[in-house]
Amino acid sequence: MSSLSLSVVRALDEHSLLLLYGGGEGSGTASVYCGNEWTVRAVFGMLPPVEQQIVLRLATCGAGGCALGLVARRWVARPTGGVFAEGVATLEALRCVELSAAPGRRGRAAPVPRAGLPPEPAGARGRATAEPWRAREPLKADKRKPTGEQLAQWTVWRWTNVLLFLIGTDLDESAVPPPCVPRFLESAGLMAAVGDGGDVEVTGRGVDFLLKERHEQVWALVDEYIRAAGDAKGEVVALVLTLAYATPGEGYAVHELSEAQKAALDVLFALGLVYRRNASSSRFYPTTLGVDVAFGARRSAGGARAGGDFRRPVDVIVQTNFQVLAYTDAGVNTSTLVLATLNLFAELTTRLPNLVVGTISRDAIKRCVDRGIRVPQIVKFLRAHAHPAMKASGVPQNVTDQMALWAGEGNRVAFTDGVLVALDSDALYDAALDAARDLDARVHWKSARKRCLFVDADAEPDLRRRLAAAAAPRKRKAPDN
Amino acid sequence: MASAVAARAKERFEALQAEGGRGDLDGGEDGRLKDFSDLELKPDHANRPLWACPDGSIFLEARSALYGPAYDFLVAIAEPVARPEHVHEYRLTPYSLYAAVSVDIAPASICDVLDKLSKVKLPARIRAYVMDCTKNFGRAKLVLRGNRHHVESSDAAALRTLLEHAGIRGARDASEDGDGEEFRAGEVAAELAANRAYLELAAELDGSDDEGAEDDGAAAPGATLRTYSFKLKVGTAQDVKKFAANDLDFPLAEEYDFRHDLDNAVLPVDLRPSTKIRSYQEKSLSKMFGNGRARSGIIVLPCGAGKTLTAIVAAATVKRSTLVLCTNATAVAQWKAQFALWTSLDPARISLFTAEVKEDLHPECGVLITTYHMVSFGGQRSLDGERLIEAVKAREWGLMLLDEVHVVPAQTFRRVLAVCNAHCKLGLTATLVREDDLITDLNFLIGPKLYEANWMDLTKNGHLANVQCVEVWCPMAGPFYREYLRHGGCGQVASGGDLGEGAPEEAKPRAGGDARCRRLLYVMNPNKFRACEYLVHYHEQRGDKVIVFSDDVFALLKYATALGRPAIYGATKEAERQAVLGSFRFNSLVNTICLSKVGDVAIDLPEANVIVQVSSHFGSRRQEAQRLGRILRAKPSADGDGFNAFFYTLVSTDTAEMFYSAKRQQYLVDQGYTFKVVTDLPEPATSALDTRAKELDLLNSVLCADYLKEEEAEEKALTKAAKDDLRAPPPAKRTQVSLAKISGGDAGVRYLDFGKGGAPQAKAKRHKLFKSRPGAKR
Repeated sequence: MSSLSLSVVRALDEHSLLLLYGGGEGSGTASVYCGNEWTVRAVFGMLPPVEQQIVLRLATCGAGGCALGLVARRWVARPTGGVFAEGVATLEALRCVELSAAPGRRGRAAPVPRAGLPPEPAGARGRATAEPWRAREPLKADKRKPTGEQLAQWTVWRWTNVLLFLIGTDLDESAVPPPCVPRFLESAGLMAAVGDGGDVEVTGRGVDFLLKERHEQVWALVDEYIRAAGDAKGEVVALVLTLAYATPGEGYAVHELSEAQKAALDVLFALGLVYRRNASSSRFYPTTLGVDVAFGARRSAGGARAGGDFRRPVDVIVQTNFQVLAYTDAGVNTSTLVLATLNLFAELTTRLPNLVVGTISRDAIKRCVDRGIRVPQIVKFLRAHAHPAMKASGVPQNVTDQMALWAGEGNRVAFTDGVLVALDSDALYDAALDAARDLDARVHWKSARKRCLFVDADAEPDLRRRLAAAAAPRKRKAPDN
Repeated sequence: MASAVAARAKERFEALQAEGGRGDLDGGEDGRLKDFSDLELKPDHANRPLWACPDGSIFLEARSALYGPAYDFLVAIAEPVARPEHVHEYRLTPYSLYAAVSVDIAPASICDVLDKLSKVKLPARIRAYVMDCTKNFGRAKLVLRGNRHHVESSDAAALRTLLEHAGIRGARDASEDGDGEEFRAGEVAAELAANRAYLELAAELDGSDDEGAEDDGAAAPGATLRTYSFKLKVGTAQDVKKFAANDLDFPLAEEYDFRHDLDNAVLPVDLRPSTKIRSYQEKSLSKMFGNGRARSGIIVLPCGAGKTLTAIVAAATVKRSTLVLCTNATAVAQWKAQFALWTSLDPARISLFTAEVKEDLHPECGVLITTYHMVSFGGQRSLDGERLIEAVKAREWGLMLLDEVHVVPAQTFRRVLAVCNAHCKLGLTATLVREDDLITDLNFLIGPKLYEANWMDLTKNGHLANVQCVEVWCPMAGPFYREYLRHGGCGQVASGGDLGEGAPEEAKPRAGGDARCRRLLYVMNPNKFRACEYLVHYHEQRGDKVIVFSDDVFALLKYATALGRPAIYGATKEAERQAVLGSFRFNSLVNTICLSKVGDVAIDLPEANVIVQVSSHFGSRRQEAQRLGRILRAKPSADGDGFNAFFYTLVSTDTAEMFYSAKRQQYLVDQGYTFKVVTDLPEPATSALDTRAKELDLLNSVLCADYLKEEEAEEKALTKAAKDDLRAPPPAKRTQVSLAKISGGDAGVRYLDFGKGGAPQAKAKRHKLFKSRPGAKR
């Protein structure tokens, strides 16, 4: 989702943005490391068409820029419409356009991003490479370059482990994602501790997350990482955006990256976005997943995705007797994920080589509800994985109804606050009862022996007031007698 | 005998289950996940229709191209567990295998065909299990030929095994057979090709198989199989059967070679030309007469699918004296009508034997329709009854038809079988489920299940009405729920049962709460009543015929009175009953009747298409299915969503009823029915229970209900319905009088002293129980 990325870019501060566009503080090295024409191009690509127009036109106006009022009149059919103004505001926020404070409202393309805009002929400003991260001297020939197949498999394995971890499956030592992943999962609210100091378990948001498109999932975690990146934000964003222009499976030199980006590489490795042979390896290989993360599958649609990638691994049939059957034809790893998800709301009874049988039960649904997983999410999951045979009929209505009823069982009791009013004397107790009756307040419980009554919390102040009013004259009277 | 075999079968099944369970690897949440993922998947698994698991369960894909034949095969060898829309589940049980073998499916071909149909390689464990279960099952048969029992087998070795038993050797009639190793050789017609379709199926999947080709040869029409047999001494058949089953684990199936039975008179019965038999009826009969003989067994068809016709066709095929046993007198009358409807049998040859009617048997050969109770009754009978039962005992029955076979306790059966001597027994039922374990006994008392139809398939083909099942949730009215809890109802709600300190003092649960009262409270829930009212009005306006079912007589009468509709329950007189049923069927002004559980079975009301179930017998799955059966008879039109019959169950929420309701529906859900839950039924426009005061009145009457009285009457009527000469002891008579009257202090009573005689002599009055005793009559 490009809009996702754009919002992230907008959220960056000025300094990070400059870094992103390859400028910033005049330090030449920084511009090489983090920002470059690729990130500019990426940001440009993310812009809506109107903004793209504005930027391009302003860029051709030269460093002086031109009066925005004029621009609007000349370029836009309906200059009074909000589109133009909005576009300008967006661009300003992105530091793509600089506005002069003068009353003329002149605008010009900001110098740094302008440098990387597409219409400029390649090489005109020294863009020597057709690919990112090729600025420095190339590495020695790569002897053990992973094949596309291997890389794809590794990606699936790596990412699936993240999801399996999310859903709470016991994983092998080697498969457990590094500690940064659980941190993101938790800070994104996908996992939460159950009870006091209990284990961390998947939440309702987590289940929603599981149902999303793959690259949306990846993006959600990367987004989480960027949020937490602090000062290095701009550099991390630059890395992720530049990744979109890399070729999956090609080796790139780690030393082309800034220090912050090198650190980020570890995280991307944990998520399966880039592959490295080991932590000290001088190369990294972007995976298809990594290349797609910023823009979805748009760029690499052309055959770059090898087999073994994320196909829908499981076909699920839900029957009217609450039985769930899952056909699992793909690799063991991905099907385990769906099965683990199924296991959240169905009790699995039988497992065959290519079929898993389970039953949706009240207990399981209740468990889900306790974790904050809602029935519509479950139904969505079942629909998303529906077997072709079930496509026509969908999830049986009696099953969805029943699940909703089960889930709703917990919502039938509403709690309202109440107050226990203890009174000193029988007379006061009687007075309180009378007062409650006059006030039409509900007395939930009373005991003459204990001189207590229990009333709604909001009725209590009135009750007290009445009691005080009733008690006061009597107190005054007492000495008289 | 049956119990020993049943126990052994159970043992085998449990062993298999336990072994299957051992495959646990990672285990589900509760460790119940059975992991068979290490089974070997065949490369062309997509073309094969089923999975066979090592624990004996089988999953069949209903959308497979081979579904039809595979279904026929599976239903013959396995017990259906659940048959919803997409994937069916079956289970191989010792009984189902016994049934398979007894319809001449060889154990080896069970395994082979199963293996060919299966997507996974047939687990060796299953193969061993099938072989173990069928080792002796059905290999030898008890055949009644020329009025003498023969033990027959296609395998002489089986006979030798049997003869090793001293008891059986002793029972062998050596006078004609000789005592040696030689057996009489004979021939029997090969199994009908239709029943061997599964072999073609296997061949289709695996054309090059030699064995398949060989079997095809055997199935050619008119082919015969060689058999060996030895004759038994007169009267030893039951003993031999017992020895074989108990001591040798060698249950003998029973067959009747009626085509060669020249001793018994032929019943001149033919189907009317207009009689049409449906495909599934034909299928079930072809199982019964598969090898040209009549097999004993049970046919399971849903209510309304024409069980009676199936049985009548069987009778018309065997053409010998036929004994029909039903559950009550109403059913007896219906059977008679059915015989007249479908066959050309001379009415003089049909005799009835019930409490009211005792008609003599046709001297030569005829049909006798009676009830289980009449035959199994062990007490003193009336003169007519005594004479008739002697005639029944003396007659050699060709066919015994056992209606609603699931309702009869095994003990009754044993007595019936002791009285009647029948060559072939055919059990009929809609639901072969019981909450107790007695079904398994039927397998051995009557015979294996020969055929079981799929409800959904019949519905799809229009043989059954398309029923919309609805569960209506009615919240408990406040005062009723309070009383419910006070009577210990919270115990049922488990965790919610803790009322805690804050509860009003009077609402503390009473120790040992009154279950009966609780039950009445949730049945009489005013919200439920209004829901019932709404449904009755709604459907009457649509022109539907509605039955309101309530198990509880007190509630039934309350509902009937409030609704202003007629009710039939145990104590209703037969004449009144017929009148009400008659007007329900033919009078367009009477569109609703209320029935107690006397209406559960065997009352045939083809017009009814809506059931509103107000209360029911706890968690009985069978009752639910039987009640549904009342409206299953195919209806001409389908409007709405294609549904033309409606089955409503009214459930009071937060009571034990919810739990029972879920349990009751299990059977139907497994048959593929769906229960739609409705929580917000509109209020009826006008209600007999429209004020709170009326509700409280109702509550009061519920709490003070003298339900024991009605219940007693109901129980009595239920038993009486089937009873004959057994006159119930006169009920304790209750009359309402003042204490003064009893004590003699009643105003206006005067004591007169008549000098001589003391107290007046009571006239010697014979108790009516003894009135009709033989000998005492004249």
